[in-house]
Amino acid sequence: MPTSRLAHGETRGILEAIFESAVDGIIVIDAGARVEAFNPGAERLFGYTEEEVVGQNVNLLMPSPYREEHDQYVARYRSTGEKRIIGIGREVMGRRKDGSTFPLHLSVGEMRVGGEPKFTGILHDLTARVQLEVQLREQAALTRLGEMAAVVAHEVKNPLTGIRGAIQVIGGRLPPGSKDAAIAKEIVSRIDALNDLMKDLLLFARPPQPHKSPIDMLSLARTVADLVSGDPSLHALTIDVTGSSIPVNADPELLKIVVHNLLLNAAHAIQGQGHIRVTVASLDGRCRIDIADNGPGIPPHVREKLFTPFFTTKSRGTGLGLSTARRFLEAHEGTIVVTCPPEGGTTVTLELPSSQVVA
Amino acid sequence: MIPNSPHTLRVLVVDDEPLIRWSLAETLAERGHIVTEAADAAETRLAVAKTPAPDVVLLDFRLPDSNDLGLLRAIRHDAPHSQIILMTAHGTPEMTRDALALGAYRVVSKPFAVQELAALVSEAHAAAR
Repeated sequence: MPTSRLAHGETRGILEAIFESAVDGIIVIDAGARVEAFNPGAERLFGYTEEEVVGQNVNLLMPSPYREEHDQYVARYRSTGEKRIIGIGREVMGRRKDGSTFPLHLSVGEMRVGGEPKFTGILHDLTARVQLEVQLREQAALTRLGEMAAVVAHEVKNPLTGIRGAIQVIGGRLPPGSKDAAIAKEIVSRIDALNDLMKDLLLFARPPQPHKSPIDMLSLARTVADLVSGDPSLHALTIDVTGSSIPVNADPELLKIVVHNLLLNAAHAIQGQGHIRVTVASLDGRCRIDIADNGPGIPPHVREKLFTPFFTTKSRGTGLGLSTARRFLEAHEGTIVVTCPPEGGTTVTLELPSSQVVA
Repeated sequence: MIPNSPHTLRVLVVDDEPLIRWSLAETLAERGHIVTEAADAAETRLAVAKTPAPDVVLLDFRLPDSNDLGLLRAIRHDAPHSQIILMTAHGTPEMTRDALALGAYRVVSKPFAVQELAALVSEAHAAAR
């Protein structure tokens, strides 16, 4: 360290302190890819302790196929001297002790200690950045979808209005009770289903811009529950709304759509017969709404796809209800989680920041 | 149907979709109203300038030569006693608010039930008296 102002005796202590205190992971390996040093930053990244890793092949920290191929990379560098990562650095995937993988930036420096080549890797966690990139990509895709949906909606709804109107006029002239009149009615209901699809697509694709106002979550849940219970096709259904009045600062129209979608999902899960329990409670400064049914529950392989747009298990569904609900919740800094408790049924849990009660 | 009864209204139906014009015109005529049609903004301006002016105008928001509230404003100017019902396939709360502020009687979303819209025509006229 020719330019260091530190006295020779201090340098070693300072370097050790840097190694110990660095936020990023620092790993030293020998020419045979055995780990010689593993700092606390690396311990935090990978979940291994230094003792568990030192002496092991560094490929322990890599997912397949890099894990199997790493020895070849090292051998190739030693025989050809061709540098693919040394002195450069690149984005790679790391593998934690629990088997999960994560993106990281790895830069590798080469050094000689006592004539022996050694390599120092500095590892910076990219999880947050990659998540942000994914979010931005999804956002851009949704914006494009929204623009497309707005154009398509107009181009589809206008002729649909014409067809619906003409069929209503013609149907009104057919003999009442005749097969033809029934078909005309059926055409109108098909057109209405197409229009519902367009509405769902627009709701999902249009960026939610909440018009927030102070609302009471309990009374909003009751209003929507009354609306759903009032549907003649759901007369065998009871919805119990209990809990306390929790003020939230939110867009009532968007939240009504969310709760309405979730109640209809629950009603379908129990085939329109039975009980749905809605509980509104306060939890750590947040408003928590549980919507629980006693239906058959959701198999894990279906549960993991529930929020994927256009994924549906219903014969007549757009697959946009839950993904729209999540978009609306996120626009309110809220969350939505679907769980299937061991005792059966499905519970959907919404959480929203609750607002300060103004005395 | 009694022509020119007190319930007979002059209704102008404005839409570039012929099936919408036809279904509204048929439904309104069955109720005894006198219907004229326009397919774009230029035809609409000519129709509202005639005497007598229409009692009610059913106006599509988006036409080949008009895609804003300018036509609504022009009709309000040319035929201040005509009631206007705006029809839109893709409205926003802001557009509805602006249209009502400019004097539209109501903004209805497409698709609609023709019978309900025909009833709204009578309601709009009654409200104007």
